[in-house]
Amino acid sequence: MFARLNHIAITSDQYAINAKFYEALFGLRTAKKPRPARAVVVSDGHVGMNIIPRREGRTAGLDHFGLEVQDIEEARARISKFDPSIKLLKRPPVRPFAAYSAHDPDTNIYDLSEAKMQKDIYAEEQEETVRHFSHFALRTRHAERCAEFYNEVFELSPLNKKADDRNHYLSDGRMTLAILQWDIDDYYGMDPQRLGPDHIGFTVESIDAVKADMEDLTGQNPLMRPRPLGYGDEGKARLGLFKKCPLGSYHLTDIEGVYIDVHEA
Amino acid sequence: MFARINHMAMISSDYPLLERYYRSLFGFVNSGRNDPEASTVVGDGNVGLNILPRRDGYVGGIDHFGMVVESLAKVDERMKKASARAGMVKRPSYRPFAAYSAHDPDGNVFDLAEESSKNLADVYAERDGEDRDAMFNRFAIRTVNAEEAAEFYTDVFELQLTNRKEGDPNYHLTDGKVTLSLMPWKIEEFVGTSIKRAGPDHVGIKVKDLDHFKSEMKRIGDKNSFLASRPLGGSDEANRRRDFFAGNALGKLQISDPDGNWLDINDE
Repeated sequence: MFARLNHIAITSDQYAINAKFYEALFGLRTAKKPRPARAVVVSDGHVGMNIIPRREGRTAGLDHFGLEVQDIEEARARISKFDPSIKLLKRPPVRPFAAYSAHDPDTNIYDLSEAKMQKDIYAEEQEETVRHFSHFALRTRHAERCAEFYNEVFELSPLNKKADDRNHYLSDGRMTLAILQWDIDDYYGMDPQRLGPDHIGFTVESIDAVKADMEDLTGQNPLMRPRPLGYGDEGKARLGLFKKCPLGSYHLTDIEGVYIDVHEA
Repeated sequence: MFARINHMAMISSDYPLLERYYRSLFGFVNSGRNDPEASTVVGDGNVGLNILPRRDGYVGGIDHFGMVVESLAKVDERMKKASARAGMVKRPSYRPFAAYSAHDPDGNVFDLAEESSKNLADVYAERDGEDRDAMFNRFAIRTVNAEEAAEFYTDVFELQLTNRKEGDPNYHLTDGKVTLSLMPWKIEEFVGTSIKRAGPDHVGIKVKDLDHFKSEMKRIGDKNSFLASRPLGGSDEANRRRDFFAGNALGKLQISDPDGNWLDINDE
Protein backbone atom coordinates (compact mmCIF):
# COMPACT_ATOMS: atom_id res chain seq x y z
CA MET A 1 0.00 0.00 0.00
CA PHE A 2 1.08 3.55 -0.65
CA ALA A 3 -0.10 4.62 2.82
CA ARG A 4 -0.91 3.04 6.14
CA LEU A 5 -2.72 4.50 9.13
CA ASN A 6 -0.04 4.34 11.80
CA HIS A 7 -0.97 7.02 14.32
CA ILE A 8 -3.94 8.14 16.43
CA ALA A 9 -3.99 11.10 18.80
CA ILE A 10 -6.20 11.91 21.76
CA THR A 11 -5.93 15.14 23.76
CA SER A 12 -6.78 14.52 27.37
CA ASP A 13 -7.42 16.26 30.68
CA GLN A 14 -6.17 13.08 32.38
CA TYR A 15 -3.61 11.84 29.92
CA ALA A 16 -1.48 9.73 32.25
CA ILE A 17 -4.30 7.68 33.70
CA ASN A 18 -6.07 7.40 30.36
CA ALA A 19 -2.91 5.85 28.93
CA LYS A 20 -2.92 3.37 31.80
CA PHE A 21 -6.52 2.50 30.87
CA TYR A 22 -5.51 1.53 27.33
CA GLU A 23 -2.55 -0.44 28.63
CA ALA A 24 -4.68 -2.24 31.19
CA LEU A 25 -7.76 -3.06 29.13
CA PHE A 26 -6.34 -3.52 25.65
CA GLY A 27 -2.79 -4.57 26.48
CA LEU A 28 -1.21 -1.72 24.50
CA ARG A 29 2.45 -1.08 25.23
CA THR A 30 4.29 2.13 26.02
CA ALA A 31 7.53 3.25 24.39
CA LYS A 32 10.81 1.85 25.70
CA LYS A 33 12.17 5.37 26.03
CA PRO A 34 9.23 7.52 27.10
CA ARG A 35 9.37 11.31 27.17
CA PRO A 36 7.59 12.03 30.44
CA ALA A 37 7.11 15.74 29.83
CA ARG A 38 5.17 15.14 26.64
CA ALA A 39 2.41 12.79 25.53
CA VAL A 40 2.18 9.17 26.61
CA VAL A 41 2.43 6.92 23.56
CA VAL A 42 0.87 3.45 23.55
CA SER A 43 1.06 1.01 20.68
CA ASP A 44 -0.45 -2.24 19.45
CA GLY A 45 2.78 -2.95 17.58
CA HIS A 46 1.44 -1.44 14.39
CA VAL A 47 -0.46 1.73 15.29
CA GLY A 48 0.78 4.20 17.91
CA MET A 49 -1.64 6.31 19.90
CA ASN A 50 -0.42 9.56 21.45
CA ILE A 51 -2.39 10.60 24.52
CA ILE A 52 -1.52 14.25 24.69
CA PRO A 53 -1.95 16.53 27.69
CA ARG A 54 -4.64 19.04 26.77
CA ARG A 55 -2.94 22.33 26.18
CA GLU A 56 -4.53 25.72 26.60
CA GLY A 57 -6.78 26.73 23.75
CA ARG A 58 -7.29 23.13 22.63
CA THR A 59 -10.22 20.77 23.01
CA ALA A 60 -10.11 17.45 24.85
CA GLY A 61 -11.03 14.28 22.99
CA LEU A 62 -10.16 12.23 19.97
CA ASP A 63 -8.11 14.66 17.89
CA HIS A 64 -6.51 13.38 14.70
CA PHE A 65 -4.82 10.47 12.98
CA GLY A 66 -1.63 9.97 11.03
CA LEU A 67 -0.56 8.23 7.85
CA GLU A 68 2.82 6.82 6.97
CA VAL A 69 3.34 7.07 3.22
CA GLN A 70 5.90 5.63 0.85
CA ASP A 71 6.78 9.02 -0.61
CA ILE A 72 5.78 12.33 0.92
CA GLU A 73 6.58 14.33 -2.19
CA GLU A 74 4.27 12.08 -4.20
CA ALA A 75 1.56 12.53 -1.54
CA ARG A 76 2.03 16.32 -1.75
CA ALA A 77 1.66 16.25 -5.50
CA ARG A 78 -1.49 14.13 -5.32
CA ILE A 79 -3.05 16.35 -2.65
CA SER A 80 -2.35 19.42 -4.73
CA LYS A 81 -3.83 17.75 -7.81
CA PHE A 82 -6.97 16.75 -5.91
CA ASP A 83 -7.49 20.19 -4.38
CA PRO A 84 -4.86 22.93 -4.85
CA SER A 85 -6.27 24.87 -1.91
CA ILE A 86 -5.16 22.19 0.58
CA LYS A 87 -1.85 23.09 2.16
CA LEU A 88 0.64 20.94 4.05
CA LEU A 89 2.50 22.27 7.04
CA LYS A 90 6.00 21.10 7.92
CA ARG A 91 6.26 20.19 11.59
CA PRO A 92 9.07 20.59 14.14
CA PRO A 93 11.49 17.63 14.26
CA VAL A 94 10.49 16.74 17.85
CA ARG A 95 7.54 14.79 16.49
CA PRO A 96 8.66 11.35 15.30
CA PHE A 97 5.40 10.55 13.55
CA ALA A 98 4.61 13.81 11.83
CA ALA A 99 6.87 15.32 9.23
CA TYR A 100 3.90 17.25 7.94
CA SER A 101 0.37 17.96 9.03
CA ALA A 102 -2.36 18.39 6.47
CA HIS A 103 -6.12 18.25 6.11
CA ASP A 104 -8.74 16.77 3.84
CA PRO A 105 -11.39 18.78 1.93
CA ASP A 106 -13.45 19.05 5.15
CA THR A 107 -10.51 20.23 7.28
CA ASN A 108 -10.10 16.94 9.12
CA ILE A 109 -6.50 16.97 10.25
CA TYR A 110 -3.96 14.20 9.79
CA ASP A 111 -0.20 13.87 10.17
CA LEU A 112 2.06 12.58 7.42
CA SER A 113 5.41 10.84 7.65
CA GLU A 114 7.60 8.36 5.81
CA ALA A 115 8.84 5.06 7.25
CA LYS A 116 12.46 6.27 7.32
CA MET A 117 11.48 9.27 9.47
CA GLN A 118 9.97 7.23 12.30
CA LYS A 119 11.42 7.29 15.80
CA ASP A 120 10.49 6.06 19.24
CA ILE A 121 7.55 3.69 19.37
CA TYR A 122 6.84 4.26 15.71
CA ALA A 123 10.22 2.77 14.79
CA GLU A 124 10.40 0.07 17.44
CA GLU A 125 9.91 -3.51 16.34
CA GLN A 126 7.03 -4.71 18.47
CA GLU A 127 4.95 -7.83 18.37
CA GLU A 128 1.32 -7.13 17.64
CA THR A 129 -0.86 -7.14 20.73
CA VAL A 130 -3.81 -9.55 20.89
CA ARG A 131 -6.22 -6.64 21.12
CA HIS A 132 -5.35 -4.15 18.43
CA PHE A 133 -6.71 -1.10 16.65
CA SER A 134 -9.07 -1.83 13.78
CA HIS A 135 -10.41 1.55 12.67
CA PHE A 136 -10.49 5.30 13.12
CA ALA A 137 -13.81 7.04 12.43
CA LEU A 138 -14.43 10.64 11.38
CA ARG A 139 -17.82 12.34 11.21
CA THR A 140 -17.78 14.95 8.48
CA ARG A 141 -19.94 17.14 6.24
CA HIS A 142 -18.94 15.79 2.85
CA ALA A 143 -18.23 12.13 3.49
CA GLU A 144 -18.27 11.07 -0.15
CA ARG A 145 -15.85 13.78 -1.24
CA CYS A 146 -13.51 12.95 1.64
CA ALA A 147 -13.66 9.25 0.74
CA GLU A 148 -12.64 10.14 -2.81
CA PHE A 149 -9.77 12.19 -1.40
CA TYR A 150 -8.33 9.37 0.74
CA ASN A 151 -8.79 6.91 -2.09
CA GLU A 152 -7.18 9.03 -4.81
CA VAL A 153 -4.36 10.51 -2.74
CA PHE A 154 -3.47 7.69 -0.38
CA GLU A 155 -4.78 4.68 -2.30
CA LEU A 156 -6.94 3.56 0.61
CA SER A 157 -9.35 1.00 -0.79
CA PRO A 158 -13.11 1.43 -0.48
CA LEU A 159 -14.79 -1.46 1.33
CA ASN A 160 -18.18 -2.88 0.48
CA LYS A 161 -21.12 -1.42 2.35
CA LYS A 162 -24.87 -1.61 2.38
CA ALA A 163 -26.60 0.34 -0.36
CA ASP A 164 -28.41 2.65 2.08
CA ASP A 165 -25.32 3.34 4.23
CA ARG A 166 -24.26 7.00 3.83
CA ASN A 167 -20.89 6.29 5.39
CA HIS A 168 -17.70 5.25 3.63
CA TYR A 169 -15.04 2.78 4.74
CA LEU A 170 -11.52 2.71 3.34
CA SER A 171 -8.81 0.22 4.19
CA ASP A 172 -5.03 0.28 4.14
CA GLY A 173 -5.13 -3.51 4.24
CA ARG A 174 -5.21 -3.62 8.02
CA MET A 175 -6.71 -0.45 9.47
CA THR A 176 -9.97 1.05 8.25
CA LEU A 177 -10.68 4.75 8.01
CA ALA A 178 -14.43 5.14 8.53
CA ILE A 179 -15.83 8.37 7.11
CA LEU A 180 -19.24 8.92 8.65
CA GLN A 181 -21.75 11.41 7.30
CA TRP A 182 -22.45 14.31 9.73
CA ASP A 183 -25.99 15.60 9.48
CA ILE A 184 -27.61 18.00 11.95
CA ASP A 185 -30.86 16.09 11.54
CA ASP A 186 -29.21 13.25 13.49
CA TYR A 187 -29.11 15.46 16.58
CA TYR A 188 -32.76 16.01 17.44
CA GLY A 189 -32.48 14.18 20.75
CA MET A 190 -29.01 15.26 21.81
CA ASP A 191 -26.58 18.14 21.57
CA PRO A 192 -25.03 18.35 18.11
CA GLN A 193 -21.56 16.88 18.17
CA ARG A 194 -18.83 18.86 16.52
CA LEU A 195 -17.45 17.70 13.23
CA GLY A 196 -14.32 15.63 13.29
CA PRO A 197 -12.94 12.46 14.84
CA ASP A 198 -15.73 10.31 16.25
CA HIS A 199 -14.41 7.02 17.61
CA ILE A 200 -11.74 4.38 17.48
CA GLY A 201 -12.22 0.66 17.00
CA PHE A 202 -10.45 -2.42 18.31
CA THR A 203 -10.33 -6.02 17.19
CA VAL A 204 -10.33 -8.35 20.19
CA GLU A 205 -10.13 -12.06 20.75
CA SER A 206 -13.39 -12.16 22.74
CA ILE A 207 -15.92 -9.50 23.67
CA ASP A 208 -16.89 -11.49 26.73
CA ALA A 209 -13.26 -11.43 27.82
CA VAL A 210 -13.13 -7.64 27.36
CA LYS A 211 -16.29 -7.27 29.45
CA ALA A 212 -14.86 -9.47 32.19
CA ASP A 213 -11.56 -7.58 32.14
CA MET A 214 -13.38 -4.28 32.30
CA GLU A 215 -15.34 -5.35 35.36
CA ASP A 216 -12.19 -6.61 37.03
CA LEU A 217 -10.32 -3.44 36.12
CA THR A 218 -13.04 -1.21 37.55
CA GLY A 219 -12.91 -3.21 40.76
CA GLN A 220 -9.15 -3.06 41.00
CA ASN A 221 -8.93 0.59 40.12
CA PRO A 222 -12.15 2.65 40.12
CA LEU A 223 -10.29 5.51 38.40
CA MET A 224 -10.21 3.35 35.26
CA ARG A 225 -13.96 3.14 34.90
CA PRO A 226 -15.38 3.72 31.40
CA ARG A 227 -18.43 5.96 31.09
CA PRO A 228 -21.84 4.28 31.21
CA LEU A 229 -23.59 4.38 27.84
CA GLY A 230 -27.24 4.49 26.85
CA TYR A 231 -28.83 5.96 29.98
CA GLY A 232 -31.67 8.44 29.67
CA ASP A 233 -33.23 9.65 26.45
CA GLU A 234 -30.18 11.61 25.36
CA GLY A 235 -27.84 8.76 26.27
CA LYS A 236 -29.94 6.39 24.18
CA ALA A 237 -29.87 8.83 21.26
CA ARG A 238 -26.10 9.19 21.48
CA LEU A 239 -25.56 5.46 21.65
CA GLY A 240 -27.99 4.91 18.77
CA LEU A 241 -25.96 7.19 16.51
CA PHE A 242 -22.68 5.61 17.64
CA LYS A 243 -24.03 2.14 16.84
CA LYS A 244 -24.77 3.12 13.26
CA CYS A 245 -21.13 2.48 12.45
CA PRO A 246 -21.26 -1.19 11.46
CA LEU A 247 -17.62 -1.92 12.27
CA GLY A 248 -18.15 -2.60 15.97
CA SER A 249 -20.49 -4.82 17.92
CA TYR A 250 -19.72 -3.81 21.51
CA HIS A 251 -19.56 -0.18 22.56
CA LEU A 252 -17.75 1.48 25.41
CA THR A 253 -15.73 4.59 26.22
CA ASP A 254 -12.40 5.32 27.79
CA ILE A 255 -12.32 7.05 31.17
CA GLU A 256 -12.91 10.45 29.56
CA GLY A 257 -15.77 9.49 27.26
CA VAL A 258 -13.90 8.84 24.00
CA TYR A 259 -15.96 6.34 22.03
CA ILE A 260 -14.48 2.89 21.44
CA ASP A 261 -16.19 0.11 19.55
CA VAL A 262 -14.99 -3.43 19.56
CA HIS A 263 -15.47 -6.44 17.34
CA GLU A 264 -14.21 -9.99 17.56
CA ALA A 265 -11.52 -11.28 15.27
CA MET B 1 -31.83 43.91 16.83
CA PHE B 2 -33.39 40.92 15.14
CA ALA B 3 -31.06 38.57 17.03
CA ARG B 4 -28.89 38.71 20.10
CA ILE B 5 -26.29 36.31 21.41
CA ASN B 6 -27.74 35.04 24.67
CA HIS B 7 -25.62 32.08 25.55
CA MET B 8 -22.28 30.39 25.16
CA ALA B 9 -21.53 26.77 25.99
CA MET B 10 -18.49 24.88 27.21
CA ILE B 11 -18.05 21.18 27.78
CA SER B 12 -15.97 20.12 30.75
CA SER B 13 -14.90 17.02 32.63
CA ASP B 14 -14.83 19.24 35.73
CA TYR B 15 -17.88 21.38 35.14
CA PRO B 16 -18.76 22.24 38.78
CA LEU B 17 -15.22 23.53 39.29
CA LEU B 18 -15.47 25.72 36.20
CA GLU B 19 -18.72 27.17 37.55
CA ARG B 20 -16.90 28.17 40.74
CA TYR B 21 -14.08 29.67 38.70
CA TYR B 22 -16.38 31.93 36.68
CA ARG B 23 -18.40 32.88 39.74
CA SER B 24 -15.40 33.69 41.89
CA LEU B 25 -13.21 35.47 39.35
CA PHE B 26 -15.83 37.26 37.26
CA GLY B 27 -18.74 37.49 39.67
CA PHE B 28 -21.10 35.73 37.29
CA VAL B 29 -24.23 34.46 38.99
CA ASN B 30 -25.91 31.11 39.03
CA SER B 31 -29.67 31.20 39.26
CA GLY B 32 -29.69 28.08 41.41
CA ARG B 33 -32.70 26.94 39.47
CA ASN B 34 -31.04 24.97 36.73
CA ASP B 35 -31.21 21.20 36.87
CA PRO B 36 -28.40 19.94 39.16
CA GLU B 37 -28.40 16.66 37.25
CA ALA B 38 -27.60 18.45 34.00
CA SER B 39 -25.27 21.33 33.24
CA THR B 40 -24.55 24.38 35.35
CA VAL B 41 -25.20 27.90 34.12
CA VAL B 42 -23.62 31.19 35.13
CA GLY B 43 -24.69 34.50 33.70
CA ASP B 44 -23.83 38.18 33.55
CA GLY B 45 -27.42 39.39 33.25
CA ASN B 46 -27.22 39.38 29.46
CA VAL B 47 -25.44 36.20 28.40
CA GLY B 48 -25.59 32.78 30.08
CA LEU B 49 -22.60 30.46 30.02
CA ASN B 50 -23.80 26.87 29.97
CA ILE B 51 -21.09 24.59 31.36
CA LEU B 52 -21.98 21.09 30.30
CA PRO B 53 -20.63 17.87 31.76
CA ARG B 54 -18.56 16.15 29.10
CA ARG B 55 -20.74 13.35 27.85
CA ASP B 56 -19.64 10.24 26.00
CA GLY B 57 -18.46 10.98 22.49
CA TYR B 58 -18.09 14.76 22.90
CA VAL B 59 -14.95 16.85 23.05
CA GLY B 60 -14.17 19.09 25.99
CA GLY B 61 -13.75 22.81 25.41
CA ILE B 62 -15.65 25.83 24.14
CA ASP B 63 -18.47 24.24 22.18
CA HIS B 64 -21.09 26.55 20.71
CA PHE B 65 -23.10 29.72 21.17
CA GLY B 66 -26.79 30.54 21.03
CA MET B 67 -29.02 33.37 19.91
CA VAL B 68 -32.54 34.51 20.65
CA VAL B 69 -34.32 35.86 17.60
CA GLU B 70 -37.49 37.77 16.91
CA SER B 71 -38.83 35.09 14.60
CA LEU B 72 -37.68 31.53 13.99
CA ALA B 73 -39.87 31.37 10.90
CA LYS B 74 -37.95 34.27 9.39
CA VAL B 75 -34.64 32.63 10.29
CA ASP B 76 -35.72 29.44 8.54
CA GLU B 77 -36.74 31.37 5.45
CA ARG B 78 -33.56 33.46 5.39
CA MET B 79 -31.26 30.49 6.03
CA LYS B 80 -32.66 28.60 3.08
CA LYS B 81 -32.07 31.64 0.91
CA ALA B 82 -28.61 32.44 2.29
CA SER B 83 -26.91 29.06 2.00
CA ALA B 84 -27.71 25.55 0.91
CA ARG B 85 -24.90 24.41 3.17
CA ALA B 86 -26.56 25.63 6.40
CA GLY B 87 -29.22 23.70 8.29
CA MET B 88 -31.27 23.48 11.47
CA VAL B 89 -32.99 20.84 13.59
CA LYS B 90 -35.78 21.19 16.16
CA ARG B 91 -34.76 20.34 19.73
CA PRO B 92 -36.71 18.78 22.60
CA SER B 93 -38.96 21.25 24.43
CA TYR B 94 -37.33 20.92 27.87
CA ARG B 95 -34.27 22.93 26.89
CA PRO B 96 -34.48 26.45 28.34
CA PHE B 97 -32.41 28.05 25.63
CA ALA B 98 -32.62 26.03 22.43
CA ALA B 99 -35.71 25.51 20.34
CA TYR B 100 -33.51 24.66 17.39
CA SER B 101 -29.89 23.84 16.82
CA ALA B 102 -28.42 24.99 13.55
CA HIS B 103 -25.16 25.31 11.70
CA ASP B 104 -23.61 27.88 9.43
CA PRO B 105 -22.16 27.03 5.98
CA ASP B 106 -18.95 25.77 7.58
CA GLY B 107 -20.75 23.49 10.06
CA ASN B 108 -20.28 25.71 13.13
CA VAL B 109 -23.14 24.88 15.47
CA PHE B 110 -25.37 27.38 17.29
CA ASP B 111 -28.64 27.19 19.23
CA LEU B 112 -31.72 29.25 18.46
CA ALA B 113 -34.72 30.29 20.53
CA GLU B 114 -37.45 32.85 20.06
CA GLU B 115 -37.55 35.88 22.35
CA SER B 116 -41.18 35.15 23.19
CA SER B 117 -40.52 31.47 23.80
CA LYS B 118 -42.12 29.98 26.89
CA ASN B 119 -39.14 27.75 27.46
CA LEU B 120 -36.66 30.59 27.96
CA ALA B 121 -35.84 29.96 31.62
CA ASP B 122 -33.08 30.22 34.22
CA VAL B 123 -30.42 32.80 33.46
CA TYR B 124 -31.67 33.00 29.87
CA ALA B 125 -34.86 34.67 31.07
CA GLU B 126 -33.20 36.74 33.78
CA ARG B 127 -31.94 39.51 31.60
CA ASP B 128 -31.64 42.49 33.88
CA GLY B 129 -29.71 44.91 31.65
CA GLU B 130 -27.44 45.87 34.52
CA ASP B 131 -23.87 46.85 33.76
CA ARG B 132 -21.90 44.35 35.84
CA ASP B 133 -18.23 44.27 36.76
CA ALA B 134 -17.69 41.58 34.15
CA MET B 135 -19.71 40.99 30.99
CA PHE B 136 -19.29 38.52 28.16
CA ASN B 137 -18.50 40.57 25.09
CA ARG B 138 -17.19 38.18 22.44
CA PHE B 139 -17.41 34.67 21.03
CA ALA B 140 -14.69 33.85 18.52
CA ILE B 141 -14.78 31.04 15.98
CA ARG B 142 -11.97 29.92 13.70
CA THR B 143 -13.43 28.71 10.45
CA VAL B 144 -12.34 27.90 6.91
CA ASN B 145 -14.61 30.27 5.00
CA ALA B 146 -14.75 33.19 7.41
CA GLU B 147 -15.98 35.73 4.87
CA GLU B 148 -18.84 33.50 3.73
CA ALA B 149 -19.77 32.76 7.34
CA ALA B 150 -19.76 36.49 8.14
CA GLU B 151 -22.13 37.15 5.24
CA PHE B 152 -24.38 34.36 6.54
CA TYR B 153 -24.70 35.88 10.01
CA THR B 154 -25.32 39.37 8.64
CA ASP B 155 -27.90 38.19 6.08
CA VAL B 156 -29.80 35.83 8.35
CA PHE B 157 -29.44 37.40 11.80
CA GLU B 158 -28.77 41.04 10.93
CA LEU B 159 -25.59 41.08 13.00
CA GLN B 160 -23.67 44.20 12.07
CA LEU B 161 -20.16 44.09 10.66
CA THR B 162 -17.88 46.36 12.70
CA ASN B 163 -14.83 48.24 11.51
CA ARG B 164 -11.61 46.34 11.87
CA LYS B 165 -8.06 47.46 12.28
CA GLU B 166 -5.89 47.57 9.20
CA GLY B 167 -4.41 44.16 8.51
CA ASP B 168 -6.92 42.31 10.69
CA PRO B 169 -8.01 39.24 8.65
CA ASN B 170 -10.93 38.52 10.98
CA TYR B 171 -14.57 39.54 10.72
CA HIS B 172 -16.31 40.99 13.75
CA LEU B 173 -20.10 41.13 13.90
CA THR B 174 -22.08 42.68 16.71
CA ASP B 175 -25.58 42.37 18.12
CA GLY B 176 -25.04 45.70 19.87
CA LYS B 177 -23.51 44.19 22.99
CA VAL B 178 -21.73 40.97 22.09
CA THR B 179 -19.35 40.41 19.19
CA LEU B 180 -19.18 37.28 17.08
CA SER B 181 -15.69 37.05 15.57
CA LEU B 182 -15.09 34.82 12.55
CA MET B 183 -11.41 34.15 12.02
CA PRO B 184 -10.03 32.36 8.97
CA TRP B 185 -8.63 28.89 9.72
CA LYS B 186 -5.47 28.11 7.77
CA ILE B 187 -3.10 25.29 8.54
CA GLU B 188 -0.15 27.61 7.88
CA GLU B 189 -1.07 29.53 11.05
CA PHE B 190 0.06 26.61 13.20
CA VAL B 191 3.78 26.64 12.47
CA GLY B 192 5.61 25.32 15.51
CA THR B 193 2.52 24.09 17.37
CA SER B 194 0.03 21.25 17.22
CA ILE B 195 -2.75 21.95 14.77
CA LYS B 196 -5.86 23.39 16.36
CA ARG B 197 -9.06 22.15 14.79
CA ALA B 198 -11.49 24.64 13.30
CA GLY B 199 -14.39 25.70 15.52
CA PRO B 200 -14.94 27.81 18.64
CA ASP B 201 -11.67 29.46 19.63
CA HIS B 202 -12.05 31.83 22.55
CA VAL B 203 -14.45 33.88 24.65
CA GLY B 204 -14.10 37.58 25.40
CA ILE B 205 -15.00 39.15 28.72
CA LYS B 206 -15.06 42.85 29.54
CA VAL B 207 -14.11 43.87 33.04
CA LYS B 208 -14.39 47.32 34.60
CA ASP B 209 -10.86 47.60 35.91
CA LEU B 210 -8.10 45.42 34.48
CA ASP B 211 -5.61 46.06 37.28
CA HIS B 212 -8.19 45.12 39.88
CA PHE B 213 -9.06 42.04 37.84
CA LYS B 214 -5.41 40.97 37.71
CA SER B 215 -5.00 41.36 41.45
CA GLU B 216 -8.20 39.39 42.05
CA MET B 217 -7.01 36.65 39.70
CA LYS B 218 -3.79 36.35 41.69
CA ARG B 219 -5.55 36.48 45.04
CA ILE B 220 -8.08 33.79 44.11
CA GLY B 221 -5.47 31.51 42.53
CA ASP B 222 -3.22 31.87 45.59
CA LYS B 223 -6.10 31.16 47.95
CA ASN B 224 -7.40 28.15 46.02
CA SER B 225 -5.05 26.68 43.44
CA PHE B 226 -7.95 24.77 41.83
CA LEU B 227 -9.32 28.15 40.76
CA ALA B 228 -6.04 29.44 39.34
CA SER B 229 -6.07 30.46 35.70
CA ARG B 230 -3.70 28.36 33.62
CA PRO B 231 -0.51 30.16 32.66
CA LEU B 232 0.10 30.84 28.98
CA GLY B 233 3.56 30.38 27.52
CA GLY B 234 6.58 28.56 28.88
CA SER B 235 8.02 26.20 26.30
CA ASP B 236 8.61 27.20 22.67
CA GLU B 237 5.31 25.67 21.61
CA ALA B 238 3.42 27.25 24.49
CA ASN B 239 4.91 30.64 23.62
CA ARG B 240 3.72 30.24 20.03
CA ARG B 241 0.22 29.33 21.18
CA ARG B 242 0.19 32.34 23.48
CA ASP B 243 1.42 34.67 20.75
CA PHE B 244 -1.04 33.22 18.24
CA PHE B 245 -3.93 33.81 20.63
CA ALA B 246 -2.72 37.34 21.41
CA GLY B 247 -2.43 38.07 17.70
CA ASN B 248 -6.13 37.39 17.23
CA ALA B 249 -7.40 38.83 20.48
CA LEU B 250 -9.08 42.20 20.82
CA GLY B 251 -8.46 42.49 24.56
CA LYS B 252 -5.50 43.57 26.66
CA LEU B 253 -4.98 40.37 28.63
CA GLN B 254 -5.17 36.76 27.51
CA ILE B 255 -5.62 33.98 30.05
CA SER B 256 -7.10 30.52 30.15
CA ASP B 257 -9.50 28.98 32.65
CA PRO B 258 -8.50 25.88 34.66
CA ASP B 259 -9.61 23.62 31.79
CA GLY B 260 -7.51 25.54 29.26
CA ASN B 261 -10.27 27.50 27.52
CA TRP B 262 -8.89 30.74 26.16
CA LEU B 263 -10.31 33.97 27.59
CA ASP B 264 -9.62 37.41 26.16
CA ILE B 265 -9.99 40.11 28.80
CA ASN B 266 -10.56 43.77 28.07
CA ASP B 267 -11.54 46.83 30.05
CA GLU B 268 -12.58 49.05 27.16
